[in-house]
Amino acid sequence: MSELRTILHVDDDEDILEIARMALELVDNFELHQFSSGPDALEGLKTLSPQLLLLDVMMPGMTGLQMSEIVKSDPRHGDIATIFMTAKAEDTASKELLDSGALDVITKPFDPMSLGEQIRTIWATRKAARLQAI
Amino acid sequence: MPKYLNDFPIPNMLADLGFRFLVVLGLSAGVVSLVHSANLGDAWTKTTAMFLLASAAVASVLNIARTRRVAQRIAVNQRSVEVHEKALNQHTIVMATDARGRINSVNQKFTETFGYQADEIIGVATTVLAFDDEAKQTMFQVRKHVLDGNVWSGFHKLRSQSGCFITAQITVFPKIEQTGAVSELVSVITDVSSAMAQSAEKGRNDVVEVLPDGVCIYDPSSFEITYANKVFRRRTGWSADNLDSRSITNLFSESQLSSLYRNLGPLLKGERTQNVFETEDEFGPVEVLTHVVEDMDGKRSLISVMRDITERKQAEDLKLSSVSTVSHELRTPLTSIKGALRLLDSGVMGDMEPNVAKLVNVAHRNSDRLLAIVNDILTLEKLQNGDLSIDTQAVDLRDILSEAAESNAPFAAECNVKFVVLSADEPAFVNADPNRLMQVMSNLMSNAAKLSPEGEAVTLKLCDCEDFWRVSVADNGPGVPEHARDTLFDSFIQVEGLKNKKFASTGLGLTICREIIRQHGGIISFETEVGKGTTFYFELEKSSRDAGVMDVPAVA
Repeated sequence: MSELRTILHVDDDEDILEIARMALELVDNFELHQFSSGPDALEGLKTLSPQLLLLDVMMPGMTGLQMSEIVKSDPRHGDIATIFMTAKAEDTASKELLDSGALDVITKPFDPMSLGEQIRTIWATRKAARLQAI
Repeated sequence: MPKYLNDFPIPNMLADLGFRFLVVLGLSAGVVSLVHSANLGDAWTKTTAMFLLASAAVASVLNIARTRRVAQRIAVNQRSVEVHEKALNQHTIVMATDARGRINSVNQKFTETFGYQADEIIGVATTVLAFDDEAKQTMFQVRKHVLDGNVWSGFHKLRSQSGCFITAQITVFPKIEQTGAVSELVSVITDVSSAMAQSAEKGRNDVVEVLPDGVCIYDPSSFEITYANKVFRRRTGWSADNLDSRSITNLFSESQLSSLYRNLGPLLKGERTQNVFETEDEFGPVEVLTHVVEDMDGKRSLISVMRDITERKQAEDLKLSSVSTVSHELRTPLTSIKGALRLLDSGVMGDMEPNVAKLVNVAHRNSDRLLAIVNDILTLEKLQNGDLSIDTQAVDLRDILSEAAESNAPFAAECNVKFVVLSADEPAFVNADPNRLMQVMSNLMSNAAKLSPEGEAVTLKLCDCEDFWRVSVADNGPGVPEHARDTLFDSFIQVEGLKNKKFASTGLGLTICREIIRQHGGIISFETEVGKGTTFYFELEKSSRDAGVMDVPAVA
């Protein structure tokens, strides 16, 4: 199981993109690629190969779930994992989100000081469980 | 014109006497004239005598014919009277009583209607027929009225031998002897129970027919429909003509049927008198309220009222989605505010001037508070809408107490108090959702910790209260002033003097606790003394270790 280094983050809120950038680049040392919409991120994926998609759920135009499904259906990106972020409390336990194959759902507001650690923990435990299942 | 001569006995008697007088007169005058003419040899006198005798003979013949005719008519009349009596017996109850109210005689219809045989009821007081004390009183008054020579007519509530209720239309009149004394009271009674019932039923059905809700009445064992109103027929597509062959079970799918039987089970077993459940038909969601009703004869029926709840459901969905949307809209900017303040506060962006750091800390703390309020509103909304699932299992309250003390210990340390646990020696099982109980404990314990003087202890205690386990959280704080006690569990109530500047609260914690405990079927309350402290407690019904999962009714 490879160590997590590259993350593609999509959120339509510029401020949250900024907070997450500081959290994941300054507090942690991830290689982060950020986009403010699903279509932009899909365009970016033509040249990028992140290990993880960190996707806001409620975005105008294309939701995080729709985007993850498009990515999954593309054989070039078949092994990219997904973690959703949501401000809707009921989405945290959403069966639909977890059934889509996501590793987990992180609730907003997140703690920027521990976001990187939280993502690493999810990556390590869920990835391991998934590999075992395969 | 009289139908029968018997109807006028006096003219009939006069006619008879007249005829007889003519015969006797004719015969006597004829015989006297005949003897006289024989003696005189007078032809004229002889002719007169012969004429008188012939007249008497004619009168005699006429009288015989008339008498025969009268006899025939009397016989016809007698048969008619018998027919009349038979007809009377078909429709009318006749009863004669003495002046003391004891029954002298009854007709056949009486025995058929009241179930008493003549020999059982004769000599018995009429009050045996009264349905209730009010009817007995009326009977006394009627007897007095009729004994005074009056006729009484009215309605009465009577009872048959088997206890059935009979609505009777009665006329009571006195039988007056030649002396002027009342010898008997004769009651002519008509059983109008079914007519009254039909009339009442018709009136009721007329109202039920036009109700905006669907109403149907059906048999509790066969589920066959006996009545369905217009809305019910429209929703089911049934016509009023062929309801008899319909069963309520025709309306449901197999899975809905098992739900129907499960819901109606307690009604049929007599454990409950009414039941409400929600289901769906092709027009949309409906709420079905079912009652068991019993008529006078003890026959049971089920009445279901089917209410269309499409609009209510839409309103509920809208409310929930608005709460959820507001929650989302508030959480998104809070993510940025809290995130920015947290990054600043952490020092990762570099050191700040002490005053700047202090202000950042104030802003950060208050953003936490705002988030707590948003979260509590959402939790409360879900609890009140029954959308927050309560997953019950057998829970040992001793574990809840020790875990609560452990997980809330950091907060106690911040408040400079400690939690002391006084647990039970034996297992203390209840059917509960452990996560929700921990939520209640955390709320009560954080309140107690905030209000306790520094260095003091907050006591968590488990008590055996016969059928219940009581969990209490006691502090040595200022106590709840009397004016605030009634509203302490209401939303956004924060008691002046109990506010803690350092550890602010949302004002929803106790409301959430009350909702959670209510949904567990328990009670939550407190005892308090100003200046000494407050003990909050909740009680939950005991269960066994293997009680398993229990259905907790959602309380909206």
